[in-house]
Amino acid sequence: MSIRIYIATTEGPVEVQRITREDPNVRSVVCLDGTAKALPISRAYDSFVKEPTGIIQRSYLHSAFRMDVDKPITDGNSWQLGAFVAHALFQENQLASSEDKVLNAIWLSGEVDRDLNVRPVDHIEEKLLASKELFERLRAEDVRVFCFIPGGAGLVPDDDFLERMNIDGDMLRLESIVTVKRILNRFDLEDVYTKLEEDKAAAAEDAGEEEADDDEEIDLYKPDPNAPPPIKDHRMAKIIALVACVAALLVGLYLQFEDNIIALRSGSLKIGVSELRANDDKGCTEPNLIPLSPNGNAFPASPLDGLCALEITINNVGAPAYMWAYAQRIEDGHLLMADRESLLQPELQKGLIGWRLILPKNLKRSIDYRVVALASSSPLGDAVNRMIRRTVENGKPDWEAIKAQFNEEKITVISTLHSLEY
Amino acid sequence: MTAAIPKHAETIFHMLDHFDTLTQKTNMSHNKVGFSELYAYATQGDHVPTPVLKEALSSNLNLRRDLTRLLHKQSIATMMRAAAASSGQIERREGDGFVITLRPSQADENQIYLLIHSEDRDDSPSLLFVEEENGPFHRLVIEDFYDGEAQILLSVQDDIVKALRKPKVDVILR
Repeated sequence: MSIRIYIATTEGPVEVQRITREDPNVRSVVCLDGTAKALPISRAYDSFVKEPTGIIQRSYLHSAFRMDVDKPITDGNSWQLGAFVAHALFQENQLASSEDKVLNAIWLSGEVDRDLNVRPVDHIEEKLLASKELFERLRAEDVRVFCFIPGGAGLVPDDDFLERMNIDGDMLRLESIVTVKRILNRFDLEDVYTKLEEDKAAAAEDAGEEEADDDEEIDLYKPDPNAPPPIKDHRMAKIIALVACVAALLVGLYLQFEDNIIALRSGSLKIGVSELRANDDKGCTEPNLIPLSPNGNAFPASPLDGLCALEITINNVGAPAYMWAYAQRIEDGHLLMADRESLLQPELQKGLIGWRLILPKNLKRSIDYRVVALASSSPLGDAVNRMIRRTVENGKPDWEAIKAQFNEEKITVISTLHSLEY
Repeated sequence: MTAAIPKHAETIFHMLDHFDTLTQKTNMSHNKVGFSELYAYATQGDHVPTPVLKEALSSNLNLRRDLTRLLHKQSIATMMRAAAASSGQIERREGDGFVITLRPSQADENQIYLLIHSEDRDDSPSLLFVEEENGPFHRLVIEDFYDGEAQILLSVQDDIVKALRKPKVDVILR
């Protein structure tokens, strides 16, 4: 099913109507509504497409395109994120044309650098407001809208604004991102550049793993390649007896073993919270990272003054596990952060994973919240749903009971508390 | 006198009157176009020609000659008409260090790219004129000449595209 792209502007959303490969001898051009009228951003678009300055040719192996849009885009670079994602969809034959009926639409604003990082742009709130009518129309047509904006201090509108815009996280979602790869992963899109980079990283990791094999800690999930071959005995009676013994032993071991894994994982899973505080010279553009030391089951409160963002991490120093985390306001159960990626693409993970929670610039009240992390040998989709339901529906959830119940299901649950002080 | 003679005389009178009117109109329109307006038309990309000037250029041979002389004095490059042996449509012209190419759009067969490329010149043309044989002048503003190149997307039905494809036209860059 194709997806429609809207580029956010302060004058209203601009729909990408189509992209066409052009003769490589011409420059890339942005045209208005299928006409021969080239828009003023065409020169910038050509630079965005063609190597060595451009990134579209690097990712999609063609040097000249024509992009048709339904309304003019006059200046700035915030169209770049929308243009890149439109190209990614076009490459997969998923870019909706004006006539296509769609179930999903993507609304974007951001500048994209050579490493596919999304750079900050201005007027996010104005752009959202200018698109309100579109959002309402798409909601009425049952079209789900994903809005992507750059991450960064002061860029994410405050909660009141989001409520006024009816951004409900379901039919209309808003997400701040630091890299285009987030969108590519979300919509299962590929680009040659990212794929090459990932292949390179995987090759480097493989090489590193092979070298580090000797130093690695014992992994309970991994069969020992140096283990001696099983004893072969052809006498039937011995075999039957042996099988029975081994079966009994395995059942006993399994029960013990699972408990050990849970206990081991609980000890090897750690939640970390760090403050990102405004730098004296560069403010929140290059904030200072200050890790907080836990005090029992909580982290010391963070004063809001000068606080740009929070970094929440989970460090799994044990065996690879399916992991998931979220941060939830205690007062009303509102989710401040949830790791959607791990749910959509579950995979065994090890080491440090983290999320950055950008704080609204107009935050003028204290917030107490809980960070919860789950880990299991199996994918966590169903457990996550149950966990959210229990913590949202029951007012003040009994954490010890929840942990105990999930523990029985061989799911490790750890949690910690932290406060933002106004 | 027979009745037929006054009738012929009346017809002749009307025809002479029409002729005088036509002659007067032509002379008047030429007179109304001052040199400053013609100069602005020939040299300034932001000049918007008046209907009077357009009409005069299409109907007045003397004014066209004045413009031709002016353009040749002010030009950056001229590409004279193609060799007599040329047949069919012309898609590429060269002259005075510039190359003009027409490339069909792959996105829309009714549209075409006009590429103006400087091979060894530092000048940046801002206007392109095409003079057809015994025909009108066509003028195109080159808005975005950079890195030695300009690209303008046009309709294949555009008069200037049709003119550029004809062998017997002069092309002037200003």
